[in-house]
Amino acid sequence: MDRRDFIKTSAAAAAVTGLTLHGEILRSDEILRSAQNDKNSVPQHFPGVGVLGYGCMRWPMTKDADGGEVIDQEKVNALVDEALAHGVNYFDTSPVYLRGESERATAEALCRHPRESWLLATKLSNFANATYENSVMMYRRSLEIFKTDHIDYYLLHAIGSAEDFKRRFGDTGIMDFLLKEREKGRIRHLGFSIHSHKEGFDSMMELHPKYHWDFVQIQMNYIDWTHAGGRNTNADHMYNELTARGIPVVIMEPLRGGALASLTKSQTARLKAVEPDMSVASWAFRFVGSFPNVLTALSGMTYKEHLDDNLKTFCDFKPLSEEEFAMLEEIADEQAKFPLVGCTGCQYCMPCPYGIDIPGVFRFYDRSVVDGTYIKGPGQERYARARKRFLAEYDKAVESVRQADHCISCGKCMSSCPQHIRIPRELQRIDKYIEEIKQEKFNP
Amino acid sequence: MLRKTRICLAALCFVGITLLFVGIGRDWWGWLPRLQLLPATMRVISGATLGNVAVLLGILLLTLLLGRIYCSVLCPLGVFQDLVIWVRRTLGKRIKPLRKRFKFNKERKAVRYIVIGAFIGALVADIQLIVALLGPYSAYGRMVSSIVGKGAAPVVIAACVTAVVTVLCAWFWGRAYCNTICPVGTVLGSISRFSLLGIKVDKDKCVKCGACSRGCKASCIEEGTLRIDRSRCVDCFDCIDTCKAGALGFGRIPGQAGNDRKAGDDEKADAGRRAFLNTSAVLIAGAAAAGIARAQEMKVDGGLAPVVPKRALDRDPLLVPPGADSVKDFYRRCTACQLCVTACPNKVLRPSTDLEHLLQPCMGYEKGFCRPECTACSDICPAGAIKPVARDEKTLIRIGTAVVDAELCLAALGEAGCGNCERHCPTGAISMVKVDGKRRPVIAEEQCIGCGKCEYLCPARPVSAITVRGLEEHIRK
Repeated sequence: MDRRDFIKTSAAAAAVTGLTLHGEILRSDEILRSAQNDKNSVPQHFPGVGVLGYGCMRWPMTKDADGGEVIDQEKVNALVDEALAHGVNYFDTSPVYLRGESERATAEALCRHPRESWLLATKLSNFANATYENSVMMYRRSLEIFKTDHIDYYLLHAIGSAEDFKRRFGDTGIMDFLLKEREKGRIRHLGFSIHSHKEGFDSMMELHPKYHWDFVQIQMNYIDWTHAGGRNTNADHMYNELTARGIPVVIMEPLRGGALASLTKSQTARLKAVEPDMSVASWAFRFVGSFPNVLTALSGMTYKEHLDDNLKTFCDFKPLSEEEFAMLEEIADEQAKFPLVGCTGCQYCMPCPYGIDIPGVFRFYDRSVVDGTYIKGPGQERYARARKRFLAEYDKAVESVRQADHCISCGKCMSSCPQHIRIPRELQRIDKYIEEIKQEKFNP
Repeated sequence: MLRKTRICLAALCFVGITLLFVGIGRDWWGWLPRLQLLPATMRVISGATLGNVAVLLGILLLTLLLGRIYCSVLCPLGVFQDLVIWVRRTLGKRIKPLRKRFKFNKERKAVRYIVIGAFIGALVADIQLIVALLGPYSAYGRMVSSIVGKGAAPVVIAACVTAVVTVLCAWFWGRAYCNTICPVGTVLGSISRFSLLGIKVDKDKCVKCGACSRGCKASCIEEGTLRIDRSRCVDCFDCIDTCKAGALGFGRIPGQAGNDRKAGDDEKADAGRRAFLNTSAVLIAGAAAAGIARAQEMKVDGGLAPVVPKRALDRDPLLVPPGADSVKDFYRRCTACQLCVTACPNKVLRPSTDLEHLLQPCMGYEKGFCRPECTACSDICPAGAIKPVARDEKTLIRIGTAVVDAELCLAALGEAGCGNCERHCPTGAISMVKVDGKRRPVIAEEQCIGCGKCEYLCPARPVSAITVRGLEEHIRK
């Protein structure tokens, strides 16, 4: 029985053991471990795949000789070495990440290790040009960059809807090519990542008998579980549908772009009362890690601190108890009521042709809402000081020529946002809010 | 006791003014620069209000009463030189080669009168560069703003020259700068010559040791005769503390009572009406132009598109801040102290680089616009070049008018459905209309106040499609 069969049978087994209230979550004695079975490695839900995966979309950056932003290769190498040493062996990248540099930097770090020690996941990111030729070229280039004859996990990148699938994959003939590559073993597992409404997701499920998806990558965290919002599908629906079909799930945005690493003061206090020594972020990883049909949960660990903290969470993994699960759901309920933009900082919308730092503006705004540093009005405590500080922080967070007021609503960013945020409208909302604060004209 | 009081007061004023130039404390001690003589004079010259006259008269009367206490307490450049002298004295106590004493010098009347003559000439002829260079308060302001990185090249150069000259003068000859070059020193000196109170010597107690003379940084106590040149004495009171015999004191000078001639000052007031030339400013700033993302087979994620900096424009008429009333008035009164440049939170004011207004500020919307709620420059200007403007009246003053260049407008070119100027105009003066089938902004001139928000937020670079021209005379709605 090869690994693929194993995954299928074990996932099916998980599915038939019965779905409880939230779908099945793990009991601590169920955790499979890698061969070493020690507390120095992350556990495995499926043999051979560390349940913590490395998202290669947020590598650390540095300045080159000309002052341009480049990936800090030295740090990437160190991060990759440490990850592999602890059983984190699934690396997820794409030809378009980090201005097209992510694959190269990831390859450079990984190729210093034996090919069998790492699993490569990369994507067919044919957004701008979906022709058959261009898609094949993109696939071949990935193989070339990683100096390999096979890709372990190959994804159709960011399916937005049934139409989007048809335009980029269904109608171009590329699916036949990819299926053949899978038969030949050059693609070990074929799947897709999705940011779509429910109909889009369901239509992809209907294609399962035809294409036999080996895995699917979805956005899942304790907010998106039942509060995905907007045009996005709740993760509980997707997870349960996939589990019922025996398709392993790869998790993206378990931290929702870092948003779940910093909660409100009272929410933080609540979590810390239970686990005073574990980070706020650890709860988000324990959430996704508690589901047995999770192949791996991707985390874009930019700094060593991120990696260390995640290793701490996973190496001695404690699945959520029912009470803890309920507590996270309550926090999600609260968060869903905030007027957040919900940007995860994926940078798909960038670069904005007019130079606006879209994720920077959204990050500043959402952070201020969650931190409670946003300005409510002249009546609030220490208003003058808070106002001054808020405005200074905005200037510090986003250079003035890249702030929201420069958005002319051209709308070029809209189609690329996987969260389906109406970017110009949100930028205008934030601009108006900041202008009100500057002029101290508050609408009651 | 007198000396210590002087030092304490001087320290307070000096620290206060310095912090203002750094950008701290505008709300608390923003009034300090208003007590400066040259800015106060400029305020009175055209537009004498009771308050302005009171400050000017106050300083002059204080000098007539007590002598040049102003130079030792209020003048930041004077106190700065005292600091240099203090450093030299302190070092001299430990390091022998640096030990140096002052000695009495004769008054260099010729230099003094030539400089004050040139200064008044410059005021009359509107050569603001000389006025700005010689004014002690402005000179100090330029030094601090250069250090905190707010100065443009000419300001930094001028500041360096001032710094070198004053530090060298102070190190070797004490207050020689104040007593030969400084026009304010000369004016106040000619008053303090006749001051009612001053340093006096009790000849019965004096042991003729000469310590007072050797310690006098103003070099104004003649050894032997013990005659004191009160036109140069800056009331530092060092000599009182130095005298072991207790022969020196501060008190009424016999034979001076009732003498209140104010030489020199009337001359300054005469400088009031002058012609003004306004040719267009030549402001060219090189703007590095980089092309925006080229077409790609693969649209990659992330990164920031380069933003081409906006080019500084030749504006005719020039823009000057609300409160200036007119371009002419503004440049006539400004002493180039840089306080407004430091205070401007919107990066609208910067030191001018054109020859006619060198060192004085100029205004442009390349890096920001004149925000409707901001009155920072008018709150702080000590010279009355920018008169106080209330927050509510800010949007009622028209300082310029926006002009559209449809050939640069992205909306008119059909490149983007832009309307950023219309959306952001604080007075609703801009509307997007169809002209010959093309959408473009049009301006309601009377509504436009010239704040520059449209120009700043226009996506056309390096020159905005909508730009603001100044108004020679500001109009209040």
